[in-house]
Amino acid sequence: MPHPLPRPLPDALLGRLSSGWPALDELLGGGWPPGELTEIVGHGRASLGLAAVRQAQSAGQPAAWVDGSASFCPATAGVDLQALTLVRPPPALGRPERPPRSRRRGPAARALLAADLLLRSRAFGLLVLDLPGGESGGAPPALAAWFRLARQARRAQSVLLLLGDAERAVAGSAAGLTLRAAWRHPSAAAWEPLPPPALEVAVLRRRGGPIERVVVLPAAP
Amino acid sequence: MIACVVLPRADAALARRLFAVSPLLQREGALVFLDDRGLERLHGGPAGLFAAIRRALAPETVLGLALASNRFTAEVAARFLRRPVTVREGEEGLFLSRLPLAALPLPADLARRLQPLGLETLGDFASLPSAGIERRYGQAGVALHRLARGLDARGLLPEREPQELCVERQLDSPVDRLPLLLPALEEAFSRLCPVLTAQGQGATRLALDLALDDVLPDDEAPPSPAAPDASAARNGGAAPRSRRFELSLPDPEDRAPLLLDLLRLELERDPPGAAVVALRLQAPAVAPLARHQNALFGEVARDASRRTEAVARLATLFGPQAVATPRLRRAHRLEERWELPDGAASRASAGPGPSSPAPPSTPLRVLPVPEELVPLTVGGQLTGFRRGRRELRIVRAHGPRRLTGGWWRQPWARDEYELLTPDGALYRVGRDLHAQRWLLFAEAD
Repeated sequence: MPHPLPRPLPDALLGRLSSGWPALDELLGGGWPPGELTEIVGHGRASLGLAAVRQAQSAGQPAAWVDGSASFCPATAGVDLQALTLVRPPPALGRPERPPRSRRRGPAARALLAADLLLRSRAFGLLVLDLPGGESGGAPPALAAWFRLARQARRAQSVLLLLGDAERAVAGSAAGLTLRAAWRHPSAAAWEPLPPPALEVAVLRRRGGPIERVVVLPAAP
Repeated sequence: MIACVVLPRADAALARRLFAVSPLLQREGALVFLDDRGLERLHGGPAGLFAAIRRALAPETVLGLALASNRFTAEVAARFLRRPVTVREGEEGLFLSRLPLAALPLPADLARRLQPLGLETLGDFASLPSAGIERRYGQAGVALHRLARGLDARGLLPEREPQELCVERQLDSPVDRLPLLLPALEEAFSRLCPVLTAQGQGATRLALDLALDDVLPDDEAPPSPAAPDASAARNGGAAPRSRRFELSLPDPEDRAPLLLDLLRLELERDPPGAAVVALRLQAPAVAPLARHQNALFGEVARDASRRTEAVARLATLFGPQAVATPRLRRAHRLEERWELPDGAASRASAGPGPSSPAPPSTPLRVLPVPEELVPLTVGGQLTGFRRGRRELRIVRAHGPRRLTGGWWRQPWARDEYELLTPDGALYRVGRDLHAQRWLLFAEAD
């Protein structure tokens, strides 16, 4: 008689990082999964990433943010900047002067290189990779690159959040979980200031799990 | 069996010579205990063991030597008899019975209470009934009574034999290029680093001595560290030149690839200048490694030194500004509300900035360079913007909020609006009142 396979450990025991919203934690099965690549697309993805940074910092886990899109706003981030390792890969240099080897890659590849190096150190509990979107990011990295990054996250047992494009996922099947975020603005009179929006999060893709669920969260956890 | 050696004084270096006799050794002041279990065939019995101890130490440094089945008997025999003694198993009580009561480690109060009994030898004390000893003197008395009867269950707490943190290597032929020297260095590290790891130590200083295959006048030739005979013979007996390379490390390190890389960079920066015939790699200064204990189901402990190392690598790769910590400051314009410290080499050099703001309801994505928008109007009324190939149709707008400043240097003025588009995206756009153009500054994300 074949030996039964060991049952997987309960999610609560695997050191998941809370998202900051109980409803989203329930959707995620306890929080952001460590050792996996989680991709978030849509408007509101940075809010989810920053909330994860706040949760990691309050839990004493070192967090890093790779600002590949060069759009990180420290003034509105609401995180402890002194405790955050913020990496801004430099923009590409012009042709006349020969740039160093590290700068010959595209913006997305440089961001990926920084994320890979940080994950290899195994010194971070959370890594948020904000990828340059649109035309400025150049060609998206190949699927193999995402699988390599996911493998590094698994070895480091780090939570890896990829803030991809606003409209479409880029990591494909390398991501264990793909979410779509969107702002939902309540109606108000035209002369009134814009009320705080709600954040709608839907599961686009989940490895081995249901995908039909959607939660609506207040903008601030 | 346990052997006890009495030395003239507590001398760690002298005691460590006895590792040549037994790998299980414990020091206790001027006493050294050796466990010779399993070494009977090596030494050939007690006489062979005593001979081995005398070979390891100078004869005048051995003040007492005894072998017994337990630690107390061996200690007392070595201290009270000035000749080598072997107490066979089962004869401990008989041997101890003739020794004075002072051989027992008696506390002062117990010695005072035993004095009226007129006890003189260990045998006198051992002959007292055990039940009465326990009743009168408690557990401390019982323990001493057992020792007096030759019963001692204490074992040894052996210390680890110190290993020399030095690797020497003679090269088959002189090597005059770094790529050819690296395999020898790699092999040296592969021998040195496991020793460090086994001791839970990391090197804080690393020294590499290279013996060079070059003949200098006698008055210029410095002493050789490794004194390679082959090279000396080749040079007609002249002492070869040597070079010393030293690395100081900020944290204890035992990883061979990293240490090899650092040493390689040092050699690339300052080449030896001649062919290398021998090398000696040593760690003159070591310190305990920082270790982390991970819980089975808990979070993984993160190593701060590796974090610092990763950030330093990124700073080398992308430049120090790429890993600098921004400092918040007060400003009207959103894009000026933080700054990067000038010449910031690392996060550690960044000074403390203002405290972080409270979590905002909608974090913003600020464009590195404001993007120009083309206004779309219908019937003279603004209905949206064209951003590249995309069209941003306005569902709602809030504003304007007029911001001005820089009148003393470079005046600027703009009206800022918050625009909501049908897909729920919220943009912050502004109308530059001097250049009369629309710019996209940020988007809520």
